[in-house]
Amino acid sequence: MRSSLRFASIVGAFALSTVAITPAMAAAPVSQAGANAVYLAVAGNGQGTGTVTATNDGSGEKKNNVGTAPTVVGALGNNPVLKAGVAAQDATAGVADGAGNSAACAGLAGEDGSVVKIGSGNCLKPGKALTLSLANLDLSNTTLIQPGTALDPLTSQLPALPVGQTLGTVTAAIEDAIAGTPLGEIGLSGNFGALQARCTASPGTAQGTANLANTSGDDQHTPITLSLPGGTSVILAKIPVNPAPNTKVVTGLDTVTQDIVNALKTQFNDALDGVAAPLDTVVDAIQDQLVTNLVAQLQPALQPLEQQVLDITLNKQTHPTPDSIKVNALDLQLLPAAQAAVGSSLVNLQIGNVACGPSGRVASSAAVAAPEAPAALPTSVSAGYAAMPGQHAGQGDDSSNAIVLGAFALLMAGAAGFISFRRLHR
Amino acid sequence: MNESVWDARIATWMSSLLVLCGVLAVAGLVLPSPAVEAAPTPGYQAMAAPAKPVRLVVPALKIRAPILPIEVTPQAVLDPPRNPRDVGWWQRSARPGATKGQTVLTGHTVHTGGGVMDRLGKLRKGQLVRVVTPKGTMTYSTTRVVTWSKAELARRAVSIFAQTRPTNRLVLITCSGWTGKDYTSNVVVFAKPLGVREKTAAA
Repeated sequence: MRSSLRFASIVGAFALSTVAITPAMAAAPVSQAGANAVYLAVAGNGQGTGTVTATNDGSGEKKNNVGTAPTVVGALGNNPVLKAGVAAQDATAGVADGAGNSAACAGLAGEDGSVVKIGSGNCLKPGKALTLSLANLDLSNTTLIQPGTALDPLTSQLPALPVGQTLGTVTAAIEDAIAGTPLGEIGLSGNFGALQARCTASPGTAQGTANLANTSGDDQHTPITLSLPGGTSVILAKIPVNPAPNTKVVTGLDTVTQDIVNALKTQFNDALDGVAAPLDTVVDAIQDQLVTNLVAQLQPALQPLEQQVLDITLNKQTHPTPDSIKVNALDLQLLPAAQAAVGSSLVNLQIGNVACGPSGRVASSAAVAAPEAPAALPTSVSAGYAAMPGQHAGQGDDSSNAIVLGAFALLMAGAAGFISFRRLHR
Repeated sequence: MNESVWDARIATWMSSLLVLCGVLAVAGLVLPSPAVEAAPTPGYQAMAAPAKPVRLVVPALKIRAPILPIEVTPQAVLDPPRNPRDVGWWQRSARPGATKGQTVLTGHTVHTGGGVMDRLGKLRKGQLVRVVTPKGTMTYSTTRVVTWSKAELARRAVSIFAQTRPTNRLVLITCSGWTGKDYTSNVVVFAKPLGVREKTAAA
């Protein structure tokens, strides 16, 4: 008898433990979100503000990397692309009525911009103009030019030439030249008050938006300017403050293609003239071939320019699953054609990057355990007032009546006195 | 613990169960069954279908007040309508005319006067309470008037508010026990349904 009870107790305890542990072991996030203010990669070498992530499996929100990157300067150091500004990135993951929900917001504002609490609205208030500029981008450390790609024709011929030993010098010179080419001097600028993306997700759905507040005084559009060597500048596009999902900034790019090609030739020749002078006439041929080949390599890449040189997408949205979303307020890729050479765009800049979802529901056992039952049945009836609404306690009907009667008595006494006074003075 | 002790205990339990069965059997013979209690009262007929209450009439207390649906708060508090002259019907409770459950109405008591249920505690057994609905006026007969402390009411919450009763009854609740600062108790009136007055009887 006793041994049977012990056995039953052990089995019961095991069963209870299993029931208690199983949900914890099976607990998967029912809501999740992530936010990153800025990501900048030059030739595939990325740096950014880190990513704030939030997850919730029904037992509470868990967040990572909270408080990273208060400013752009702090996050990106001496980057040449973005100057001082305020970065915001926050994500939240919650559960309401057993359903997971998440939200995220991230972006940049100019100096004096401020970060506001994440919610359904924006997370940044605009400050001074936030200038996006690639004008001084230093390409000297990139590997855009590699012997195996643009210089292939040259490397295959140089060993047969007497100047083979100068290969290293020339290659270095070309790299230096590239560093000073129009590619390095292309300027892209736009003055933003704030540039941010946000998203929300709940079971079965996920939405995202991007907002590009401007400082130009025009409430509807923000101009994006491309500047070329010599001070030429072209307004590429006037982008809407609230761009539609996956808006491409392409307007006018094809008009500057030839300008860039011409500038490239000039820059290459000027740069090589000095370095290659000691090599006399042999170098001229190499130089011509080099420039021709280099431009030939680049030129197809510049046609069409918007696809190969500068690719900007605003409010870039992707849905990894139907109930999740990723939003980039601005996704900029400079020279995507460099993909073949360096494995990535020369420059990839992403501002305001958020992801929300997918979302699920807390296991039904937890939902059943929600404290709904106690509220279903009243346990108290609060049906008493001290006095009628608008009337103070202690000034009930009795006291009110007394005041009225007193006032009436005073009025009557006054009237009687007045009548008596009149009679006495007749 | 040896087996003789167990045998003694089991015998005690069995005896108790037998006594309990006997008590229940006697009670079943003596007390009226729910079916008997729910039988139509002469002069009254069952309501065609349950309907939402719209007006409370208590002739003995000169109460004539509109009824508005109310809901329990997340804190499990049942608050009457804000206007102390209105009566609240807990909309999760039974509709007048239902054969089961409890129809719960509550109204304010105002210490300085003017509350719709200021004098609810004065109601006496047998006095009538009428609840007007779009489908007829249900008449109830007062069966019990009690005053319970707030804590006692909370303890009795299931018996007062639960909708599992096999027969319907009306429950009227207001506050009492004014201390000069707040109310410490509730007056609760229970009434059994008589039905809708037959037209011939009404005429």
